[in-house]
Amino acid sequence: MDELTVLLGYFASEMVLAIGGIAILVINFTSPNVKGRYLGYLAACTVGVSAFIMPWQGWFVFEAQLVRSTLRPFFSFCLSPDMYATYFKFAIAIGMLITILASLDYVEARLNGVSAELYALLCFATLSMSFMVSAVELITLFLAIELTSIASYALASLDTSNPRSVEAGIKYFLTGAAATAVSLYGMSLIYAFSGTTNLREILNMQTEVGAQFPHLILVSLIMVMASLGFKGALVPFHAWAPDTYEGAPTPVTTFLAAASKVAAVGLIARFMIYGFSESLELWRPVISTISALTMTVGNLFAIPQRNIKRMLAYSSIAHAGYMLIGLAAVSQAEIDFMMGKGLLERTDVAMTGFLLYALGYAFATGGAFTVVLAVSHLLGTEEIPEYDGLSQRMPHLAWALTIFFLSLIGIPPFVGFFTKAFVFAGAIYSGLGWLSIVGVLNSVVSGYYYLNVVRHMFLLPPKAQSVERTAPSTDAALLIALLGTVVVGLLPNPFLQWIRDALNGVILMLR
Amino acid sequence: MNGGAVWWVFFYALSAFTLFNALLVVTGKNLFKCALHLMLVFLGVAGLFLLQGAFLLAGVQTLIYTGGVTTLILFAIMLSEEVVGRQRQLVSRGVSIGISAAICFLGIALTIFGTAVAQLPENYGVHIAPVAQFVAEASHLPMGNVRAVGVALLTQFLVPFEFASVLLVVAVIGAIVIARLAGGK
Amino acid sequence: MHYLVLSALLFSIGIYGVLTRRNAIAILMGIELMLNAVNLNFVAVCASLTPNQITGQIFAAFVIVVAAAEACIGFALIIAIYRNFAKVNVDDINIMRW
Repeated sequence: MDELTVLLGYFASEMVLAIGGIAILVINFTSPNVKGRYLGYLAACTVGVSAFIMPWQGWFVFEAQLVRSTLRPFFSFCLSPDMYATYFKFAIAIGMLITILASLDYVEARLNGVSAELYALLCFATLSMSFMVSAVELITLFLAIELTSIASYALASLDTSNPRSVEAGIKYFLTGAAATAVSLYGMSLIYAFSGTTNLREILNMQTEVGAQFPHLILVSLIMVMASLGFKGALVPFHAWAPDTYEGAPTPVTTFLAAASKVAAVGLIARFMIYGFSESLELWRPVISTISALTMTVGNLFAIPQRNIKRMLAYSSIAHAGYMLIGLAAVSQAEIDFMMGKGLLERTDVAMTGFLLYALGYAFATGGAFTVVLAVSHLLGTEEIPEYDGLSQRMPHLAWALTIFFLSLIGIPPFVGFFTKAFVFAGAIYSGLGWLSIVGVLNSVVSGYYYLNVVRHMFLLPPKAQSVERTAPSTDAALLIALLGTVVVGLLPNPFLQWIRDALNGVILMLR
Repeated sequence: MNGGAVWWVFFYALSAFTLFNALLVVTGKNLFKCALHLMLVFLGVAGLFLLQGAFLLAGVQTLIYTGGVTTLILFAIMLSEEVVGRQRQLVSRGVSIGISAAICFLGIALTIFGTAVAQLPENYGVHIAPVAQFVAEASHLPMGNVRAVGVALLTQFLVPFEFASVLLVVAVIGAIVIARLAGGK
Repeated sequence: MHYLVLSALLFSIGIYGVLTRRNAIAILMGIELMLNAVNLNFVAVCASLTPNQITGQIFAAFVIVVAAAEACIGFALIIAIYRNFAKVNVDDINIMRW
């Protein structure tokens, strides 16, 4: 393996995404007559190919460790495309693939004038999210968060003739820009006490210098959380989410919920464990408080919603909370395992649950939004009462949505059950029993509003009798999401093995 | 860094200038004048960069902020005025919340500086970062130097440097898409 | 140390501006103040704590780049807002509950 091969391997999936995004723009510019739909297929292919490459990329980078390279130190100073990163990149790319496939019809009908820009921005957003989960250096991390944010601001306000979309954009933008400034201040504090921006060196400095100044670390972590929490819509920083989710064009909402949030939690976990595991006892209370608040607020506010996008917005806030249980409950043995020392015990399941949750969530939420997009395109509505009798008009949509909701509630045999079981068990083993009680109670509450939609679809009489057909692309998106939700639930073992490799692989990128 | 009394005179003069203009930016009544004061803040900060020997950064600050961002702001103000030149009256609401949040932050920050940052050993960051060592050796010149920044950007920070270009592309696409006339392509 | 206090002051002025202003452009100006304060921090820390490295200045340079990109998007958004609502006060932009 020569130097060039190593570098290509480092950035293979990212390069595919960048080339795809630019190709879409160039095609749109040189031949404006190409239909938006074909650009969408191109974007879906791009994301699909990169999703296919990603799992291999992790292995490749592992092998490439042994190759001498003069340039690699500079890359591995900033990026660590290890198996942890490739796992999350895969989840993100799957979320994006479902998003793009599901939105082809919607975009053609409502956003036809800007379809090229929409698909290109989605490709670039995927690229930046894969940088988000592989960044191990503050500048790279900051740039990746910002690129994702800037792409999301533009996407959210893409429908400029619709006041709601623009309102969604400006609210998202103002909160985001303020959160960025606050987290940058936190990063400058981190830089002040560590003298470096590389997470691994920051970790080393904590043992030397940082241990004397716990409140300095705590304050800087909380300030950095402003931006990370903003991207993941965690509770003190969630105010933008419901309005933006409701106002933004539905494909963009799907992207924000299914992919952007997964990237954010992946980033938070890497940041906390890779850079700050020495201060575990400092941030564990912070993360568990945020987690409990996020679950509770998300679920309680979801109950009265009549707009299904707004309801799913609150529900996705809540799910970020469940995921964070896994991070809050991380045990010392797991951190050691991720740092390349020791082995996992039977009780160390918190991080396993965290990673599996991210994947299962991407499948189920992506699928739920696929149904919302299809209904919104065919029936022109996003209000829950309009879902009455959907089971008679479009039975496959109704059944699929029911499966996704059951998975989100956490009912076996779907993937949501295992993910919740893992994170709750992890919390109990780590002595955070109260957190898992909050989680279980929240799951019960969430059952109410999910099953309410199911009741509308199956028990209430339809308001109109017309039967509509969904497009093949929508069916493909549904199929991917259903396969993920059901297969990972029924056969979790290969995925658990992959997660174990991913956890063990966090550390592979040492110089 | 401290070059004696003259340095301190410059430092305090620039600090007072910057803070005074910053206060005017957040309390002024006329949006247009606020923007002009913001430009002066940017210039003051550029001067403070110079005092720390960050010459390149001072230049970049002057070009991008004073030149670029201020112009953008002025354009935004003019494009969002119903009648160009009409004075836009600014209202400030929730002043008490604003003041208490600002004081709260200031208290936390100063406590931290007093207890922690001031106690950090001088030059303690010298021994870390083997990659950075390469950069320091390659430049062989005192910091603040343009060459040192260039070497660091093309070695240690090559990834973010390349990544920033993607960011600019996305920002340009995004801005064009948002600001285009709705309906017209 | 003096630089850190100065930047904390500038940052809190920015916070005040962001929280009290109702005009979207004025809020953005407050955010720019905060970003400038952060840059002062980076440059000062770079000079005093790690004199043989340049990382802080690089970080500040990237912050400037990102701030410019963000301002570009922000003002484009403000123009779009103005076309839709004929005003740029965030209180008035409220079709959906905030």
